[in-house]
Amino acid sequence: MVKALAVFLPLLGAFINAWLPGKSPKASRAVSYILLTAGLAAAVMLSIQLDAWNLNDLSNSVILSTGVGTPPLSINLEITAGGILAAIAMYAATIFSLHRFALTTPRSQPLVLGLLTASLGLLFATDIFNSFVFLEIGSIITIGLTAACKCGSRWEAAIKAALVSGLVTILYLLAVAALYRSTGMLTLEALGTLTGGSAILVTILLLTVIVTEIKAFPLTGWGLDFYQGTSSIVAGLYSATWSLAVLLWAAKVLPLLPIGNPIIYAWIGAAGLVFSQLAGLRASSSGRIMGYSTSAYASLLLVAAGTTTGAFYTQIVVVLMVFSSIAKFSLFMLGNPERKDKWSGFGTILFLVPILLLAGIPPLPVFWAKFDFLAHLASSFPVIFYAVLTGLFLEAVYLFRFWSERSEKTNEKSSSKPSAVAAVLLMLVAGIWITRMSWGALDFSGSIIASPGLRNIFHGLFAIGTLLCLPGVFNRIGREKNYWFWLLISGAALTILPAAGNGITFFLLWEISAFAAVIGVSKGVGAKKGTFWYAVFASLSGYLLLAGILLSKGSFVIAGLPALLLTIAALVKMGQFGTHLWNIRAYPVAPGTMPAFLSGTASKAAVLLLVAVALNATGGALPWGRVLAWMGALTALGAATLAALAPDYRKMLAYASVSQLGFVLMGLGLASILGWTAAFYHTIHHLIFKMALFLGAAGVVYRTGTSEFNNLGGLVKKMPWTFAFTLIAVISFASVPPLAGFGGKWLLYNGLVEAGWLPVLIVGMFASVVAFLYSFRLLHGVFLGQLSPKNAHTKEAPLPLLIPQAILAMAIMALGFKPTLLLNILVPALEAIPGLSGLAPVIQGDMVLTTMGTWNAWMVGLMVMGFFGFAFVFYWISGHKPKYVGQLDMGFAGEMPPSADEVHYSNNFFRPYRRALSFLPKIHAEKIFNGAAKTFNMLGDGVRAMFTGDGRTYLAHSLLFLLLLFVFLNGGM
Amino acid sequence: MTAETMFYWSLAVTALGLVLIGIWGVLTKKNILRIALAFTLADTGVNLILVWSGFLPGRSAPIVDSSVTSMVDPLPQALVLTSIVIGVAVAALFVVVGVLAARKSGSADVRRMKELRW
Amino acid sequence: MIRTIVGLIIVLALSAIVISSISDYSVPSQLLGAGRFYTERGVDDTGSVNLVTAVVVAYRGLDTLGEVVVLFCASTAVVLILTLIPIGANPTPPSSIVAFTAGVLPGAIVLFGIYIITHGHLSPGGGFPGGAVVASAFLLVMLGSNTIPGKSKFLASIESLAGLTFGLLGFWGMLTLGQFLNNLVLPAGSPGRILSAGIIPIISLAIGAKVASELSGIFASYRKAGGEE
Repeated sequence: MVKALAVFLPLLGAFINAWLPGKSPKASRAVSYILLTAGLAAAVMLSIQLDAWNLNDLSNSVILSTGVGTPPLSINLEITAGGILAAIAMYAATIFSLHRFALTTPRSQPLVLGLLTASLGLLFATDIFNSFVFLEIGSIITIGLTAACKCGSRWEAAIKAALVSGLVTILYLLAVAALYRSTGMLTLEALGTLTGGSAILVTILLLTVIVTEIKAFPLTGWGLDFYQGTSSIVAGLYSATWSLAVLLWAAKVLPLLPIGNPIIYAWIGAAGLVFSQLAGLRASSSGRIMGYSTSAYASLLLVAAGTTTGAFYTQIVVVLMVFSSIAKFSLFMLGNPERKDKWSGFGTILFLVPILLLAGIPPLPVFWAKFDFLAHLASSFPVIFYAVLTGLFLEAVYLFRFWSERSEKTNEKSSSKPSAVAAVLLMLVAGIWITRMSWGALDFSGSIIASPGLRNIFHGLFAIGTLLCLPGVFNRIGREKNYWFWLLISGAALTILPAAGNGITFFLLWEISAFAAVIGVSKGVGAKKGTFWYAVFASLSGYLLLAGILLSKGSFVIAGLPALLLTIAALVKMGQFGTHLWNIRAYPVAPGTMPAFLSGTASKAAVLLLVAVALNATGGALPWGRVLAWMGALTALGAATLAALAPDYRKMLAYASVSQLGFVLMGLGLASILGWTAAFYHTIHHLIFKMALFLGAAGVVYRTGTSEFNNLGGLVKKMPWTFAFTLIAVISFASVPPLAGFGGKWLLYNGLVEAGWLPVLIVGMFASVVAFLYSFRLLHGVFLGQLSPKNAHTKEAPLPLLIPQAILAMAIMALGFKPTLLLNILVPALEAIPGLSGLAPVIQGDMVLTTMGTWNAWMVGLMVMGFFGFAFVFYWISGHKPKYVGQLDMGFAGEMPPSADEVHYSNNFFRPYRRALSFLPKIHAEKIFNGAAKTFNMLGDGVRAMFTGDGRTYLAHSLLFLLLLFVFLNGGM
Repeated sequence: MTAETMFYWSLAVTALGLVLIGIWGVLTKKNILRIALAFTLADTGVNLILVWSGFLPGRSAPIVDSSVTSMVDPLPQALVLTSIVIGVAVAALFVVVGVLAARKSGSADVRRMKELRW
Repeated sequence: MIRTIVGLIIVLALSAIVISSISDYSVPSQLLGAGRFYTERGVDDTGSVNLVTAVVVAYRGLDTLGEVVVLFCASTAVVLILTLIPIGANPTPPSSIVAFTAGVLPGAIVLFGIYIITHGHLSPGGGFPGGAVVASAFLLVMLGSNTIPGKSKFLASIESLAGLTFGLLGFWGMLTLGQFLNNLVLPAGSPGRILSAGIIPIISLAIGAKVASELSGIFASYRKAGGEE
């Protein structure tokens, strides 16, 4: 009885509602809610009975038999464990969206309930003609609801859906006739008994019907137009009920078709995924973007049907389809800004969760299914694996673009839409649930960083870096809201990262940290574009990491291609060699102390990844070390030059960060103990001084509201402490003794000389010299020179920002005078790594000895301080009195000065160098990436040109697809 | 070839012909109402094919009676009953949507209903 | 032009595919699969001498329920869509022949329809054809008058009640026999009698009422929205 109630209660509701709304709308809504809740309760009872919540085993099912007798005479509905989960989602979506239908078109309630009935019926149908009846109910209701909604293009969307449904009807009934004529049965199982000509006929007919109905490429056109044209409420209900039902029905039918070799599905799906997602890059309307995302999931279904079987297949399909449908539902329920509805809700989060879910970011539920699925593909079907990965990355790109375009609107209103809130909560709860279940896959027992010394260094690095960013988080300007929460999550994930014992754990923490940081950055003012770039590069490095991990069977131990992919992932994360675009876009717009965290702390995750690759793949030496060292050196030089020319404080620091990481890369590439000592030393040093600089910048921005050099200058009088700490950091990273930076450079150059890599050494040294240029500009442009009248009343930065800077400055001093404090930890840890060549530096007291020479930091420090003190005394007794002039105090020979900005002394500060360098061809990474984007856009335009908008073209697509299938199957079988 | 066999196959050919004419019309006609007609035509053809799939030459209707010894298959007839009603329902809706879409775009030409594309 | 050529190619290729696929078919001499079981056991299983009705209402009752829902949804959708647009102009008055026929025939038509509905399990017919006949009487009445039909709550109630009856009968079968829509919750009786075949006559009646009211609803909506703007 429970099973019948779960399936047929909405139908009774529909019948009652045909009559009630005319009499009393409130009663009809009440009846709907009561029946739906009862049905939901029945479904939940069934799900418990079937043990459906244990997602690892979805094989249970119960039969609901109808009519008289048994199949093939009568019709059974088979309520499967996976199906009942989908049914619960459908019930929930219907309940959540009913009030909006009741508000706009009360008489559409029977159709809403009817759509749920059709979806449930199709979900459980085991009979081919019975499926047809439910398919028709669904199509009719879709057309009807679309035509009755309140939006401009409804007729067109409805007529296209109607055209396609007409053709599907014809093809489907032909298949039914052929099946019955050949087997005398109408059950879905009978499909498997077909042979000969009718087998091919039925296969091509049904496959065309399925691909059209699930809207997989190339039969996507009508679905795109439909999603674009219909109202967001209808589209939301449709995607959570009907679309989900069709997908799961297709998943049930596909393995039963007598197609011979099911790998054909996978090829259709993989090719379709790439092509449709290319076209998706060009979509602009939100409905269309959701349409392309639907197409991606339909293609994934085809790939799954072609490459997996049994319980694994069911599990993957159910998790992927159910959760992606809920995500789309909540996106649609959030409203459609193009039709004057406003995105609303709890900031961007409400909007972001479904996007992240669709993009498969952990720990949201879709991730687990995608990970298992991709692992399976990687091990058995490499070509399909690459295609799927490419398609998924393209999908992530347009989803994030969609989000970044919309996220600013989201901040404005705070009224919430209960349905969307509920759906988002549902997803989060499910995410936690599934994560808990899949927790077994995670492994913290033995870290991928085998050396405990190095591991502890990284743990400490991440923890301290995160903690130092925290005090300043509440000094924020304007709408920079609550980014601290995401900073904390990101930092926590990073802190655990070194303990990860296998690939999936590493990937999970890596992605959580990256995307928590993405959300954090998105809280900045005007951070739209920067966030988009960050998200795209984060997903790029994420997918590369994923590919590398999966190709090396979930571990890091395989050299060759997986190691290469992992290395590239790390380079992207570090912003090396042209991938710095995200750093220079995200850091300047990130809120408060976020840039300090990103540059100082989060970028070290890439160092960790490189170390992990080196330790596991080759036992110590980084593969392609020499190439990496060259890349590092060139990046260091190029980024330093760009930093010197940058017009913005934080942008300059972003370039500088990329440049400094280039030195780390040079050290790691050396594969000698000396080189690695230098790399680790510099990594830690970079964390210290870069955080100090960015925290200083955060203080400046907090007080002045700007980070453009043209509006700064002369702040030394207003912010003396910030200046002092920045000065210490600058001296340190300019590698001038006695501060900490000198040691890193000294060790690195020693290593390079030892290895005989003199050209790299020369480039590196030159980059160090260029670093002087920008370090000078930084001090001069912000703190020295004339005070801008705008900043006349600026105060010192707040204490929560100053205290961490003070700590960091003291660390720089300590490290400068006593580098052996750090080296005593580093050197033993690195000596234990077998793969590294060369001799370790020897530490005797304050002396550090290498094969090249000795370095006594304490002595050097004292001497330098002595000289400095002498010079200072000399300056002091000379009695020199400088004259202070205002910014606008200058002669112009009777002409009007153009504007305060242009006569600012730091405007175009290094113009001579810019001129001197102008003979160099301007190969901007930006141009390369823009070119790549253009190429992708052109490809996308080429693909989407087939979706002409003429309904009959879509029918022709379906029929041509059918013909091609016939040719292909007859050739192949 | 006996007359019964002739009838059997000519039924199939007629039905298939109707379907193909319908599909031809759907693909090439511009007027939305003609397309609706083409669909109805194809539907009729498909229904005939369904009937044909359970048809045995020389047998009578499936109503049990003392005088009847052999019958045709009742199942396809039941399916056709369902399919006809569904066809009616779809056609009714199609015509409504088609007429209103034509009113909106100012003409019954499907080529002018291309606001949504790419 | 391209469209014509592509269309031609598609149609020719389709015919080639279908013909090549069914080339191994021969004229059958025996019923196979489900069909044979129906003819052998149909009357014993369901008590209906009309085996088509036995299949439609008893064996594959779920299909029929779905079919009812299809028509229900189409009618609801048509009515819903057409209430959202402005009412059309008054129709042109009927000719005297139509007006006269509309005064005379509907009674007979309705009677005939009811006969078809109630004898569905005995002779060719049943809820769908009978319901359509009844609806045609309504159509005739509508054509014979020159006013626009108003909102009919009566039709909606009939529709709703008939649907509910069908659904609840399904649950009755589930409750007593563990099988949704089993028709033998009432005794099969002696085949050939009007009161036999379990609940088949009741379901036929429900279907008939529903089909009649829904088709009438569609006609009425068409009439309302029709005419020149």
